Amino acid sequence: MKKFIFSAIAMIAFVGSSMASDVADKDVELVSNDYKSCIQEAIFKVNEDEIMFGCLTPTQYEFALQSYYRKCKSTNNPC
Amino acid sequence: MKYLKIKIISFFILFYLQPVVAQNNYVTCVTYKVDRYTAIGEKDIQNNEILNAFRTLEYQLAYNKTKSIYQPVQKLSEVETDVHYKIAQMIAGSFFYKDTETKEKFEQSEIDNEPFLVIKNFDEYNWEISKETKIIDGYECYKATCNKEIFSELRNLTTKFTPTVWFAPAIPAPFGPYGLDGLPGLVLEGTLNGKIYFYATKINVNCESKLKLEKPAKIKYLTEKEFSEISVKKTRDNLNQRQ
Repeated sequence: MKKFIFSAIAMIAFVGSSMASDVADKDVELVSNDYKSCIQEAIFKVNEDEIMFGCLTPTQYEFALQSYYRKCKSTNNPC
Repeated sequence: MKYLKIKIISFFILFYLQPVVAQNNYVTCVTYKVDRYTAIGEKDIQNNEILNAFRTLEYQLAYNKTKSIYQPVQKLSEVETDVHYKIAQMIAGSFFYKDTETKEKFEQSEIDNEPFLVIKNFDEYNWEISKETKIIDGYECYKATCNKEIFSELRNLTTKFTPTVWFAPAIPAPFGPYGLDGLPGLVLEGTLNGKIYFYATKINVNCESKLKLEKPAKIKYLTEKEFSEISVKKTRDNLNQRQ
């Protein structure tokens, strides 16, 4: 009986800790995907601008890339 | 009698010198609009936020005999708030200063909202003047073109910058919009890379009371190389900040 109780407790603890690490992994994945998608969105938008206005100078490109990236990040962050 | 002679000579010297001095301080203002150049047969783009912002921009080139300043007419508050407006203004140019006497040329740019004056090569463009002419606002204008290659460290890529301008030798001012200058006449119209179109809409030959053509003070000056290094580093840092 004692063995059964200890096994049950150990099982619950193991499942609990696995679930917790799953949640943490998902959090990391979410942050990473959000970061990647904002970079991709910024590059995509600057490319669109270059199609419309022709090649941007390095200064214009860097400025536009950062502006789109910041805008994307602030839109995705509810806080 | 001797004093009278001196007085007469002094009067004539002042009389002839005054217009020369006045001409030096005499400021002309030219208003320019910008748009996207649509080639014949090409479909015009509608409902694009950058293009819509771009089309609201208006610039003023103010110059006297030796100096010129090119800058947007819009208020700063509008520029500060809207991302599309800011990018549109960055593409259409922000601020250019040129002094033919001291052989100085600057372009204002910014990194992380901090403005800098970038020291440009005074004879930045190696213009090729063609015999092609057209009349703009009653002025006979000549076509000039130029090819310039710019290396982007961030993209590891060399891009081409090809401006085409129309200048009026009848207005003997070696200035123009977007820092496109150094020609024997004022630039009234042109395109950048065949995509951006700018054109003069108004010439006010005396706006002396409104403007002073002074070199900007209290701002950091950087060479193009210095500016590029800081800008690339800041861009990399900002894009690497994941949170």
